[in-house]
Amino acid sequence: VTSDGPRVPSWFPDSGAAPRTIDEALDLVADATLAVIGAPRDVASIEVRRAVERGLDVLLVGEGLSPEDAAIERGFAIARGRVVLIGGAIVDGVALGAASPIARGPLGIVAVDVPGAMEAAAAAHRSGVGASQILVIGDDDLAVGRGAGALAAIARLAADASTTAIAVVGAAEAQVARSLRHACAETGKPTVIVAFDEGARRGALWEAVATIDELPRALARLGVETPRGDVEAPPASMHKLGTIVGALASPTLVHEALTVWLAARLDVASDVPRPGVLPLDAGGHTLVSAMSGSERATWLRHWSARDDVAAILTDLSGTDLAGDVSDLLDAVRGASLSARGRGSLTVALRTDDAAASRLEAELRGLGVHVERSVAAAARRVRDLALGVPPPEASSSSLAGRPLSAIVLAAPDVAAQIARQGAPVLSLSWTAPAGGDARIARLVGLLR
Amino acid sequence: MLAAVPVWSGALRARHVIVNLGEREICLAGPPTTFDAATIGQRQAVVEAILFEGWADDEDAAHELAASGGVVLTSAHDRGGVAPAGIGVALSTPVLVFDDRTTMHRTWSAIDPSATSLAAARALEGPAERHARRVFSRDVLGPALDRAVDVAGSIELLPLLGRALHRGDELGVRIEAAQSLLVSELSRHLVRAGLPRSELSMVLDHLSESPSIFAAVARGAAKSIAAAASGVPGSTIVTAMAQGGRLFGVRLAGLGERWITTDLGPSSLVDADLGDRPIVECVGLGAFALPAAPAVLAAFRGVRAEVPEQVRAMRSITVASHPTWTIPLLDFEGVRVGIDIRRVVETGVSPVLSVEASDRAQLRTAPLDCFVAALEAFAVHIGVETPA
Repeated sequence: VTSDGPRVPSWFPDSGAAPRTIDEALDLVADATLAVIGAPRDVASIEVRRAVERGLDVLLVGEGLSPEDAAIERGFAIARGRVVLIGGAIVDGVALGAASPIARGPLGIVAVDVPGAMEAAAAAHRSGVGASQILVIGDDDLAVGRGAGALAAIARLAADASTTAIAVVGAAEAQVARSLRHACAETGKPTVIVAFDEGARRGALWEAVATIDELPRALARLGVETPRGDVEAPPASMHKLGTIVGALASPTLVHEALTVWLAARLDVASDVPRPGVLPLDAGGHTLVSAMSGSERATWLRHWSARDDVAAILTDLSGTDLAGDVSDLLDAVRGASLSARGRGSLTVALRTDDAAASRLEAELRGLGVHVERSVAAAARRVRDLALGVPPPEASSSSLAGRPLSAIVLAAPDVAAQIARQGAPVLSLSWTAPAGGDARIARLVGLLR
Repeated sequence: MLAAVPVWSGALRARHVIVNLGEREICLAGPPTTFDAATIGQRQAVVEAILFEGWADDEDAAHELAASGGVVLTSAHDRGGVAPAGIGVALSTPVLVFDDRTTMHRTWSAIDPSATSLAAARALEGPAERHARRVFSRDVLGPALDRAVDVAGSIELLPLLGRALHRGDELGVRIEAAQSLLVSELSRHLVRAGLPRSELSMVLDHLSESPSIFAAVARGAAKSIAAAASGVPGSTIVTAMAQGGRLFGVRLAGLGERWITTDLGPSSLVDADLGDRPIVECVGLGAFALPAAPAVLAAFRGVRAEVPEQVRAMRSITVASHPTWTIPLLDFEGVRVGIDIRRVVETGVSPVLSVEASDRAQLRTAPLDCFVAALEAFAVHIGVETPA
């Protein structure tokens, strides 16, 4: 016995030894999100099922599965809210399998194979758009009667807060393509389908293009910021969820907010003159300068009575007179109440004095979003216009919690994940039933 | 299994415990067998039982009786109990009786009347000496134990065996702590039972010298616990492992009393017959609890480097940790309970079994093909596979 307690003899079983199975691994890392499976084809199904049953997404590397088995296991996973990825992926910024690390950004990519996915990521990157997640679903998924994997992957990206735009890359059978377009239209996020056919199509929130190199322009047309892209102007009407409006305490603050909104290719009307900005009477998205709190309160009351206004931006600072603050808060209360159910109010709280915390608490108590800078508040309201859920509304990771991988028969991938700093547990795996496929299949059936 | 609460309830002759025990029935350890298929050791057990019951006058006649089908051989497990290798349980054989307070299921465990539980040492005893010990067990030891347990009401085994684990027993080959604890417990009850002084002296001497009675208690407790899982539909948990001569067999909870067996081949004739001893591994004792027994571990140190990993691997094939049977050396982790054949077959990791040899403890691995066969049989049983 040492000061640290009983000492286990060194030759005795080491509790830290690698587990043999996914079940054992989950006893050690209960928060695991992904199983990377490199098992031989004839026994991989068993491991996929086990992983899915235990709530893990799956990335198959190595031999993978036959197309028939892949379809079966994909369906099994989808029914349980999980996805089966093939060959490679980027999950929460971590490159896995055949995928290469790329700059992080807002674009989530669903592709049938890794090269297609990486080509799309590279094209987007050239226009300044990084990737949030890359989900590779297998080149059989878009064949006749399938597409379930793509639909599940799109749904996952739609729910992923770190993904604000989506690209789907792969030629699909006609019926499957229709399902894809329908799914893309329902994501609430700008979505581009690279379908490799001649029939360009477009909906309110989605666009189908023929080639990968058209992806950046299509993203820009849908309102996605492409900082380095030589892209066309977006269509005039970009009202996704409704009109966004704001009243700020000075022209400088209005300029700052305009910079954010215009970068998103929004048409904005304002009383502050600036190239590209529409006159105030043009309506639509609007930003006005209103020095006093009472003036801003008046605008808030006006906008909160309008049905088409989805989100309101205003600010509150230490220089506002006490009476103005009180008036503005009254208006905020009213706006918050009237905006309930169809929009939100964001206040930039620009004060650092002792009253700031009290004000912030009071505002949050009214259900108001509070940011400590005009730019941050403007971005939040802009995202609402683009149909992007606010970051804190859901987790920023694909599985709802940070990537944590269990790797089975794929030591290279385990090393790859470790190099990128993500948690990974590699199993001391041997083929089920000693590699006897028939017995292994029985084991799978009996699970 | 984890809910079972086994208690030692008494010691009676087999005819009073085994339901409908036949007049010419002999229960043997291991899966069911026939006299023709039995090994020399099993046949010897049958012959000795016949002679002890008085069904024949000499060994030749006893052999003739058995060979002609004059006795019915059954598996002790099939008759609700366990037996050591080399012992045939018949009408007058004393057995220890156990009850599970949770299921109210009764099981039994046959006493090895030898002074030692070592098969090799037992083989050195002559027929007359073995007969005398059987008589002592039937006429003195059994009744004395029954009266002592009766005075005690019953003896709870979960806490007693748990304390033995904490005192260095793994309860397969090392049962010294359990022996000490039980002698201490039984002595006062034996005294209170009012036995004649000469009998009391003989019984106490036997209890102090022979560990076999405590091995029977450990096996009986294990059988009581395993029986609690028997007959659970759809369960792939092992409820019995046993060897009888060349046959090794397993029973599954979901297959009731059906045995799945494999022929161990000629090597089994050289190795010690395990009998029903592996029942202890089914409930996490024996080799599964090896880290609890430093004295046994010491036998492997420097000899078989793979032993620690073999024992650790039992985590991969079991489904639960026992809540009260814990191992101090492993930070009071519970012994692993519930061997799942799916995990055995999937991982290729077979249960390890402790074996008592003449010079030192040994570790043996259960035959994997028996578990594969059990998996196939189970798959057919529940309809996911068609019979071959």
